[in-house]
Amino acid sequence: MKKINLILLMLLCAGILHAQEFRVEKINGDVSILRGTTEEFTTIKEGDILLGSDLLITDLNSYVQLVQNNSRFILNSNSALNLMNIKKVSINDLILALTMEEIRNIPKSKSDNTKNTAVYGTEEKEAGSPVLDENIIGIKKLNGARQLAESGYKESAIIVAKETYRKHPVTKSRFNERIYFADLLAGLTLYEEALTEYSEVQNLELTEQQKEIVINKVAKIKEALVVQ
Amino acid sequence: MYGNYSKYNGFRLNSIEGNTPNFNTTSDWEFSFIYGGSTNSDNSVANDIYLISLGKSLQDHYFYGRFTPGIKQEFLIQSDTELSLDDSSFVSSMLLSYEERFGLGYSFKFNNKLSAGLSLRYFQQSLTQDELTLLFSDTLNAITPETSVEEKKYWRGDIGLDFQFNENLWFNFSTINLFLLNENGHFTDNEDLELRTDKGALIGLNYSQSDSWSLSGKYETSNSFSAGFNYALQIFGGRFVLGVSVYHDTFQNPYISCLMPSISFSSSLFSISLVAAKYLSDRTSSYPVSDLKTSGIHNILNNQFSTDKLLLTANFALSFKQESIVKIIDVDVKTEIYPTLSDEYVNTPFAEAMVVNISDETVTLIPSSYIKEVNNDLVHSPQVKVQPGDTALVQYFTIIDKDDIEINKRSISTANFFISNTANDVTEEYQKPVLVNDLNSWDGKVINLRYFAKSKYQFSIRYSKEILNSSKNYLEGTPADLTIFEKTRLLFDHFVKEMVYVSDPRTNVEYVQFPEETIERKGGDCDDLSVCFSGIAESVGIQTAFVDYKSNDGVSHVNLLVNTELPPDKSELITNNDKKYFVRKNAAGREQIWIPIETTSLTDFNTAWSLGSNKFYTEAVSDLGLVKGKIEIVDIY
Repeated sequence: MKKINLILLMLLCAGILHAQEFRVEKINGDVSILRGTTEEFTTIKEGDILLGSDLLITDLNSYVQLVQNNSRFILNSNSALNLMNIKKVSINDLILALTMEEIRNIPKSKSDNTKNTAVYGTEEKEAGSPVLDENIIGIKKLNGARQLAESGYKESAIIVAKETYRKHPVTKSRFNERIYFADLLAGLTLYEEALTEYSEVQNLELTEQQKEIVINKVAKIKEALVVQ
Repeated sequence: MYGNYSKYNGFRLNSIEGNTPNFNTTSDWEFSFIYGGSTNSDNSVANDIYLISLGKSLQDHYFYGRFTPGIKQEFLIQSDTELSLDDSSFVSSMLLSYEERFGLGYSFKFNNKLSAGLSLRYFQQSLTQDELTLLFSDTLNAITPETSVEEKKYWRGDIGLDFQFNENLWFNFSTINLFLLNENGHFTDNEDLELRTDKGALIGLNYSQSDSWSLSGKYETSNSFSAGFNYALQIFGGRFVLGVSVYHDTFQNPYISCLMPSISFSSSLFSISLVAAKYLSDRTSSYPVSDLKTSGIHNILNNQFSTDKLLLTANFALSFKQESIVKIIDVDVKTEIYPTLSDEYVNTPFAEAMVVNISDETVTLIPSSYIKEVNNDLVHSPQVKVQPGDTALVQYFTIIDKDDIEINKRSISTANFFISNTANDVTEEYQKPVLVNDLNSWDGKVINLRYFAKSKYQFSIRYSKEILNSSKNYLEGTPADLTIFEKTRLLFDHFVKEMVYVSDPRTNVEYVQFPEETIERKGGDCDDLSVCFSGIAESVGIQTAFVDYKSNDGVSHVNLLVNTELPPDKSELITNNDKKYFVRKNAAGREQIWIPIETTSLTDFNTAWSLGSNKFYTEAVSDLGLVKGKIEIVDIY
């Protein structure tokens, strides 16, 4: 995964992607899709047509190159991406999506993310270095989201990451990914949202080095909030 | 100046002077009666009926008539010359009589604070004198007395007004001898003995700081005045008042000429009082007629020759119609009645009334309502306190006895709104039409579908348990985490076996079937099917929520979310595809997997789940329908 760390998502025009139909141009290794709401993974081959409702999944040491209206992109190894997430999202829609946390709750719920985070996947792991199955779908989706962000779809990537934390709680304890997407929020000047993310990360079981990183980031955000 | 009436006793007490404006708080008929006694110069007691009056209120108008046989005073004037002949002698005398015979009155209440009125009273006075004629003849010399009577009669007119500055201060004003009408006759050579008709005015103030005591004062332009103190107690459902007044009269001695203790009891139906007038100078002596001529008689009841009196006054509300102290201005019926949404009307008012307090005291309103089609009895709503003269918004809630009533047809009914109060037994009533829908009618709010889902619950429980019991062995072999998921699958697969989707047959009013009806009819539209499966699932403890897919074109859609209670990290137990579930936190903060079910997909559970998920994920999550308000999750609880 570390060897192939670039996604070459070359989109001539974001509007072209609205067709939400992609052709598989190149494949290396095992690449499959989960179409719509089906349960079966389907291996794909060059020349196949993919839809926006497909979840594209690459195995370790695999990648796939898609083309859509002269736009090409590569999804690197050990990643998963809903093709419908390859779209521009406005900052307002991102803010709205972040409020989903409140809407999804049953009325009168009392959030206790710390406990949930601890229970769902990290309680028995070593602090700061959770030994996770790198192949699980949640991690793949975070990898896919990261590549989405690196291709310029930061807002959409943040939404994917937040959804992934929720649906695959084990990913909540991924320090590097959490910090990465929190940094994206800060980069978009959504300081309060970024602070919330950093605060949640602070509640994870962290190494001293990780704690220091988060403390510094929190301090910077607070400074930015004061200036704002 | 015996007008010691009080605004607190509820009766006008037009019995005696001092209430020219005829202020009263009664309505309908009122009967007053005064019986009293006064001491004579020889210390004997003369009893008489002082007054009989009848009054009638017509909205803001008040009329009364009174007959006053006891308001009179007579003087016997003996001549100091005796005429004697051989066989006869004679002492001439004069009988002077003053009477107020009857009276008429009218008043108009402009508002709660101001009333004004006019009174007309008929006076009659007579002077009866003996005139002696001497007869002389050859055989007889005699004195023949002849009686001559002179009379003077007239109507006396006065006006007055009452004004209440605030809850504590009360003002009244009335004229004295403002005008005389239809005067005829006079006392020839004895005009000094006629009842004096000097013009004047009477001004009064009444002050009360609390319900228990009040001070009153009156001033007459002849430089007479009175001052009184009343102390009241609330007992036996009425008001018991002890009072005392002192009087100063320019024409009487000593300076404080009269002391008047009083005791009274009043309720909303009657009042009774006993008033004594004790004069502080000797009233048993004889006086030279010159005294009478000099000072004159200004007031028949209270003058320098009046003797001690004891008056018993009784007032009765003849119709037993009590006074209304509040008034319903209008009632706004906020909503039609949908009988199945019964709990809605317990928490949300179905109507609001504007009610004004027309009394001079703070009143607690007790609202109640009755709709024949949906109530078995009066339904009481929360009480509201309202200040004097103030208006209050009164909310009406209702309890629908839908288990005891049959409502098969939509109809316009009459809602009866009542306002009673803690001050008296009068109840104000107001009627407004209200549309009462039938049991299957729905107001179109998805949140209220829950009432249909949970209605007639026994059927749903029986239905669900029957299905689950038939798969008891299968469920016992299911891992605990998957029990709810598997129960949902079993129930849904059974539920859809014989179902057929039909569109809503009605256009104007939404029609929703109860679960029992959907099962019996083997079909329904999305509302019916979602309500039915929700009822079935909830009846065995499976939590569900409606998903309201709103639409601008009016063609909305409803399906369900079902709580599997699985934590998200166990999602792989039910699916590989994370588009097929939605994570929600429960009340305890625990995250749980909810799965969307398209209830109109009448094939099998997996298909309904896939279809529901596809729609939900695309429209609610990916297109941000949930956060943009286009889609709403409506929990059933």
